[in-house]
Amino acid sequence: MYRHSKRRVLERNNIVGDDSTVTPANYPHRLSFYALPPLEEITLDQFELWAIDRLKVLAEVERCIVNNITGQTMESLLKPVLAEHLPLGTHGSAIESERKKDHYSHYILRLAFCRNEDLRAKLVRLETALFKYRFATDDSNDRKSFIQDLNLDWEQVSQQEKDTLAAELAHATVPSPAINETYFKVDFERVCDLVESRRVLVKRGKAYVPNSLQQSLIAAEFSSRLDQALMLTARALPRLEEDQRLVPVLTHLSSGFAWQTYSGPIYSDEGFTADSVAALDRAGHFPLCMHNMQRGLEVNQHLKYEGRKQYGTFLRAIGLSVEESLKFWRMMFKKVTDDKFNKEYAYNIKHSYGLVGSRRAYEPQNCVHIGMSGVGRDEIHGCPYKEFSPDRLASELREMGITDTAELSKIRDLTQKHQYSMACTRVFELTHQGGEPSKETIMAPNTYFSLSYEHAKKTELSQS
Amino acid sequence: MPSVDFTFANHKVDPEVLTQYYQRLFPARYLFQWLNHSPVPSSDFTNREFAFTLFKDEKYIRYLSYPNADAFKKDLLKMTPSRFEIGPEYNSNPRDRRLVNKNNFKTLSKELVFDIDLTDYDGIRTCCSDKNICELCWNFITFSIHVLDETLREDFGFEHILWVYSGRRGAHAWVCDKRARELDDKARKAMIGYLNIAKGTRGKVIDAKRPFHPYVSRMFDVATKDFTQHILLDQDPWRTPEDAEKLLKRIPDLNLKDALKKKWGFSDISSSTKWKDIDEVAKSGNIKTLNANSLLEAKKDIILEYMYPRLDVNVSVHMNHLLKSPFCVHPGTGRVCVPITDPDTFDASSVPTLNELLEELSTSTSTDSNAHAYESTSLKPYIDFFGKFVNNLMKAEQQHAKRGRENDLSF
Repeated sequence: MYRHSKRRVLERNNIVGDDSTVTPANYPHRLSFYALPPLEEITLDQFELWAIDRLKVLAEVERCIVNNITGQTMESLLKPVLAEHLPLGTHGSAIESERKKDHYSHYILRLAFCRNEDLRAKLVRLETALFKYRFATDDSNDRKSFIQDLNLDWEQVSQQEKDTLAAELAHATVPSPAINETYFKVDFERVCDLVESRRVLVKRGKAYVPNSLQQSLIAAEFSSRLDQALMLTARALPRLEEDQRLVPVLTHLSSGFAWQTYSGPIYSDEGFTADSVAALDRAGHFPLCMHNMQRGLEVNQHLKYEGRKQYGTFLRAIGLSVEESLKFWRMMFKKVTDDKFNKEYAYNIKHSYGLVGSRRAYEPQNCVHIGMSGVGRDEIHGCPYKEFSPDRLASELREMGITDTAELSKIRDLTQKHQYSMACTRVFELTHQGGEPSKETIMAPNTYFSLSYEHAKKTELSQS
Repeated sequence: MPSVDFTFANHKVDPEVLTQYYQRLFPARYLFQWLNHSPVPSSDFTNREFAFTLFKDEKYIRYLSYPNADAFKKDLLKMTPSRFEIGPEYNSNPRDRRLVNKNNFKTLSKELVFDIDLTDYDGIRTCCSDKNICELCWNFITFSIHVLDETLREDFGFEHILWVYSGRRGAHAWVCDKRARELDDKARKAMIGYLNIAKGTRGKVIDAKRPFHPYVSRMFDVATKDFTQHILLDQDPWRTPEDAEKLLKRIPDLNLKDALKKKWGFSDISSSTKWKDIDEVAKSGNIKTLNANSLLEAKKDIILEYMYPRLDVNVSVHMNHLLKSPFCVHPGTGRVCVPITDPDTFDASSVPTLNELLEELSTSTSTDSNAHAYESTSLKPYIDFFGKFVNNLMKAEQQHAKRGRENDLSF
């Protein structure tokens, strides 16, 4: 019976060790750390539907992260999606059922995404982003009482210490917090984002977080607790495998979540050779990032490590065989001796095809990875829409045949709003479909390639 | 020191000489204690990855590990790696990694490491290029060591920081505190982001908000002191009209830029004169568009751009990144990668080479059979320094463990 198995599962995964049923009355706040697992019965349909609804929200959250969309733009994108699939109000008769759905769907996704590290990391990242968004848009009174109820053990900085550090505290955070601001002192590892962007004072291993930035602290807490909880769930998961009905649902849920790794066609039967790479690029099948590296390779006769990884995995996923790949890199690295090539590069190429070492082929990088990769001096990987100056980007686009100034400024606006994937997609539409909008945003260079390649095949067919 | 040209020097490292070095001079015991944090072998050492680069074919062997110092030294002698690297401690023995599930083979700890290399200064340094270094460009490294060392101590609270000469044109930092070793990749990335004030993308160089964060303002104060001597006088990076473009590019006002260009014409003028000219031309008051404040801020950015520590980010952000061990011999220069005992007086050209050391050994007249061989060579101060460092680290570790036990008992 479904009822029994559900109860059994949840009791096993009970992280807090509290068996009391969570009743609607137990949702005092809109926001939640989801500390207690749900214990009431729901139908199998609800189980799946609620999870899918939450996934739709998380997909939108991920799109924002990928395109680096924050603030008001993020709100304008997320608000309708949340209202449709996962509303969470502050008052009204529906709040109990809304909070219940939020609570249950969160736990179902925990079950679906605890099985491996990648999925866990992804869920933590997206749930934390969703939490942050909700936290920022929460009613301030609600937020206050929510924080009070969390009982977090943060050390408050004494007035005396604040006085001694006054000047440094004032300069560390921009804009300067109010004079009477409350500060918390935590290990710097707990607020990595604030440390990384130098938004707080760091002294003797402690970060001094002003009250105005406590969102970071709470989000970090949320994230680390969810991370730990998922590990515990993962340990309990094997026992769940007994359940014949839940497992397929959960597997289905998590597989749908893997949309962002490239899963489109790989053209290994097209017989691409080392020589066809340049031709494919010239034919306009490569997105700007890959075009940029191909050109860099031709000019410099070399490409640095991250670039080789980004470009090499892309080529593997368009269907270039390992032999041709070796030939290609050998051919491009003109200044490198055979001896050096075999020693320093050939192994890595074979490794990326899963032929040596760990024997696991590398996934091609998607736009999330590429957008997040740091680009140092003399490196030419990464996302050009993010890395190039507006002038340089405009001249690149003109070279690709986009001359309409209105379109060029539209693309520039997108990049300035950090919507790089959308800019890239727009470029694809202009260069391939006469400006006709595509159904989806391109989220991986290989998607760009396969769309372009299919498009060319279709045009050829219709012309013959 | 004169310009040290490492490219053409005769430093062919001979495998047999290297074996002798490993046998008689290499401080294997200290290296063991350094990584093990106690005299008795623990998983800190036994699950630690080593990677050897062999002479033959430059073959690179990863996932080596050793039960104790003797076994490690034995392999050094048997395989005579031209150099070797140190990786992280794993949750099981790296040699057995195929026996455990791939997902269960995880990194547990590794020193937080930093790598500064003079090749990253090639756009700025004029004294040398490529593989060569001299005392003028070594000033960049000295400055970086000071800034990083102070920040790691003051801001992050670390105490056990070992600076090591990389053997050619740079330095490595090993931060060995327990807390540093256990930082996850996210925290390492955060630290690098904090320390690195130039954000990646070309074109935009210095990314320092105003007012300066206390870390940046501390760096700026020191940089300002060194700037005139080290950059304007020693490096003189804007002397020619072409090079002056690099400076002009950073001037925020177009009219001022044109006025300066006109003034400097086509002849070579020293960088210090050009630097002064900026203010003089600006003060002459003919430029109406000029915003004095934005010029001042731009000049601050220029000082930072030419001075800030240039870190190899990838080395630091991943716990599983391997880094060449201290006391390896650099295969290209023959110099030993010694700890930098005092950054202010460190002189790369006086670092002992393998051949010099063996020479010293063979002429040693010491009759004291109890003495270690290294004591009669110029490696002695470096090994003694390393030994002291290791002892301090072990003491701190023991206290830490003791405190941990007491806390357990108090429950």
